[in-house]
Amino acid sequence: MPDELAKGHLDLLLLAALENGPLHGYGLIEAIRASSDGVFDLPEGSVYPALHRLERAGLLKSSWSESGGRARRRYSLTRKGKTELRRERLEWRRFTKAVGTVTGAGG
Amino acid sequence: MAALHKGGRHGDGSRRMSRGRSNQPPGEAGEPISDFIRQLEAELPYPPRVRDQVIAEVRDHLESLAARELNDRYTRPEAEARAISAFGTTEDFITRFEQQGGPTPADGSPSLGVGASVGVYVALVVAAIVWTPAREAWPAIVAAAAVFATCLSPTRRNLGPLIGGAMGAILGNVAIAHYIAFRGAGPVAPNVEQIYVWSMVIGACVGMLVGLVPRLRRDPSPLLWATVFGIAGHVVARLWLEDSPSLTSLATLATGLVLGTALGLHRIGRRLLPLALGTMIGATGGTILIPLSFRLGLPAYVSAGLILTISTIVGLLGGAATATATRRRLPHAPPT
Repeated sequence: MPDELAKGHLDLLLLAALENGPLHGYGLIEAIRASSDGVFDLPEGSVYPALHRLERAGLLKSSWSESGGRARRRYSLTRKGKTELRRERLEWRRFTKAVGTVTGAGG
Repeated sequence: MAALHKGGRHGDGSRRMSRGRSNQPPGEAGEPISDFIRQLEAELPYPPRVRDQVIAEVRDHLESLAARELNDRYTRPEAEARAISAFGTTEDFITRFEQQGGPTPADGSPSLGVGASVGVYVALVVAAIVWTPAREAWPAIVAAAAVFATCLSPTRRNLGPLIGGAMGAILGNVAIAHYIAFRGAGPVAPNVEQIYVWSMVIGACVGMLVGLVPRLRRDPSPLLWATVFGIAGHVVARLWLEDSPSLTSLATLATGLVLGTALGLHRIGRRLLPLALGTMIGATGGTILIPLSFRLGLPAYVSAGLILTISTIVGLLGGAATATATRRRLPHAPPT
C-alpha cells in the first residue's frame, strides 16, 4: 500500500520538495528521503519522467548551470505549479481526514 | 515505484545500491558511467535536442551518485559501477519514460499539423504566384526552389522551423516580384489583389502571435490587441512604400487578424507558430528592403537578389527561433 500511495502522489511529493527552492533530480530524491525520514526512498532515475511531464504541463520550469564541470538541470516551481501544489495539499488533507474518520485512525 | 523503507542511508547503502539490475559488476575496471551514457544515447528514441538534455541529466545524476560512493572509500570504477547499479538499466529508464508521460519520439519532430499548415501556405503561395506575370516571377520561383531544397536536405531532421522560414522567404520574395513587375519608372503600388492576400496572411500571422501570448489569453479583448498591432505595423510598412493604405487593404488585414487570433487561441495555433512568425518576418523583411533598394539606386535584379538572400535568412532564423521556443517548452540547451 505505501508503494501505491507514493506512486499516486509522486507529483505532490516533487512539487512540495521544490517549494523551498530549485533542485536537480538527484537533489530532489535526497530531499524527499531526508524530509520523510527515509520513508520515501525513491528509485534513482525514477523522478525524471515525472519532472519532464510536470514541466510540459507548465507546473515546473528548469534552467541549466554548471556544477563540478558538468551541466546540471535544476527545476523550480512556476506560479501555476505553486497553485497546483496548494490544491493538491488541500486534497491530501481532505483525503487523510476522511480516511482517518472512516478507519478511526485519526486525520 | 517507490520502495518505502525506514533506516539510515549509509547503513543500508548496499540495499539501495543493489536496487535495479546492474549493467556492470562492481569493481570492473574502465569507465562504467561513460559506457552507460553511450549505451543510453544509442537507445533513447528521442530527437537530438531532447536526447542531449536527458543524457546530460542522467550523467549529472550518476556522477553525483558516484561521488557519494567515493566518500565510502570505493575506487572510482567501483563507485561508478555502484552508481549505475542503483540507477537501473537503460531499458528500465526508457520504459519509465514511456509509461509516465515523459518525452516521446514525436517531441521536436515535425507533426501532421505542421504538414497540413504547410499545405495551406503552399496553396496561398501558388495563388499569389499565379497573379504574377511569368517573366517577372522567376526570382521568386528560384528562391522558392532553393529554400525548399534546403528544407528537404537529409541533414536537417526538424523541418518545421525551416519550412516556416521558407514560407516567409517565399511570400516576401513573391511580394518583391510583384513590386518589380509593376513599378515601371519608379516605386508604384504593387498589384492590388496581391496586396490584399499579403495583408491577410500578415494579419493572420500577427493574430496568431497575439493569441498565443499567455497573458493575453486572460485579456477579454485579444482581438483588439491583434488589430492594433497588426494595423500599426501594416500602416508603417505601407507608408514606407510611399503608398497610403486603402480601406480595403486595412479591412483585409483586420479579417486576417481575426482569423489568426482565433487560431492562436485554439491549440492548433501553437503548432503553426513557427510558420506564422517565419512568414511574417520574411514578408515584413521584404517590405522593408524594397524601398531601401530603390533608394540605393540598385538595378532591379541586383536588388532582387540581395533582397532574396536577406529575407530568406531572416525568415529561416525567425522560424527556427520560434520553433525552439514553443516546442514542448523545452529549456535552453545545457551549457557546453
